[in-house]
Amino acid sequence: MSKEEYLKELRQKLKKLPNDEVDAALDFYGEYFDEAGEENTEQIIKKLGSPSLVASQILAEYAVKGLDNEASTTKKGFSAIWFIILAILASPIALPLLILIISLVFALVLMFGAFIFTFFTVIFALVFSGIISAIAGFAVITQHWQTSLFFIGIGLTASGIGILLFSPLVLVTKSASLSLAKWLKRLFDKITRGRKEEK
Amino acid sequence: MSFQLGAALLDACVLAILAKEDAYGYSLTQQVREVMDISESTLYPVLRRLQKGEYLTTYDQPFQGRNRRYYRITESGRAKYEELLEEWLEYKQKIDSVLLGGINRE
Repeated sequence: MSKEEYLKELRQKLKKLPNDEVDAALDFYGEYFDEAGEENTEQIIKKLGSPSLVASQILAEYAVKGLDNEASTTKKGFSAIWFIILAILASPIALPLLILIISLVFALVLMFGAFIFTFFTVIFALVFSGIISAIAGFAVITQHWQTSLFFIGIGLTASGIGILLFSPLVLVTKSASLSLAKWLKRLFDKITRGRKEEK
Repeated sequence: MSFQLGAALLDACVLAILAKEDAYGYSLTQQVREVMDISESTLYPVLRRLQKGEYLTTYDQPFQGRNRRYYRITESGRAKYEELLEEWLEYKQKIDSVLLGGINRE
């Protein structure tokens, strides 16, 4: 493999990243090859590892960059998880192991998503049915005011509980997605660092 | 090496080398590799992260008709370095006190 082929493959593997990230990485590795000297290209490729390995390390680092500052959001957490999955896909791990890891990560993320979805559905249902109950209560106010009061009361209580639960749930979702992302990064580091000397 | 290398220790080594003098990617990698068992591709993401965190800046300098990108430590980089160094010394002392304790047993 020539230097040009190597860099081209690296660019290909990094294409999901923003352009300036891709350019910075390619500048670095282009310079790296130049410093080592043309006659050592083969040796450098051996030492660096495949473009896949190099790309997966860059992707994983990019994923968690910024997760530690205070402006962390759920969206950031999820995009980090996405980049880690990309990093795992790019890394040159033996296929059976790769399939196992991907399925585990996928199951984990899916489970997490289902949990969050369920909680949000419950809250939405509380608020919605609460409003309906209150409206129904109003509708019968001329026929039987006691029944009306009962339904309006239940409706408002349900809506209130739903609204109260909403912001704590958003907070929990946020921190849970961030810790999931960090945990996946650590897992990824363990896998790739252990394999660094392999040819 | 049987001891695991953490990200913080790697950061500390890079910052320490750059605190002494500016360096470009290749030479920096070789310097770190003299003391640590890391693959050649480990360092770039570290440098990128430190640069994003504004612990390092870069500048370009022509060399034999091409470009060399040098890394320079910033003020906050130096502060980070001192912070990490202090933590390391404390940690090292604790480990030493246990590990060296076994030598004088007999």
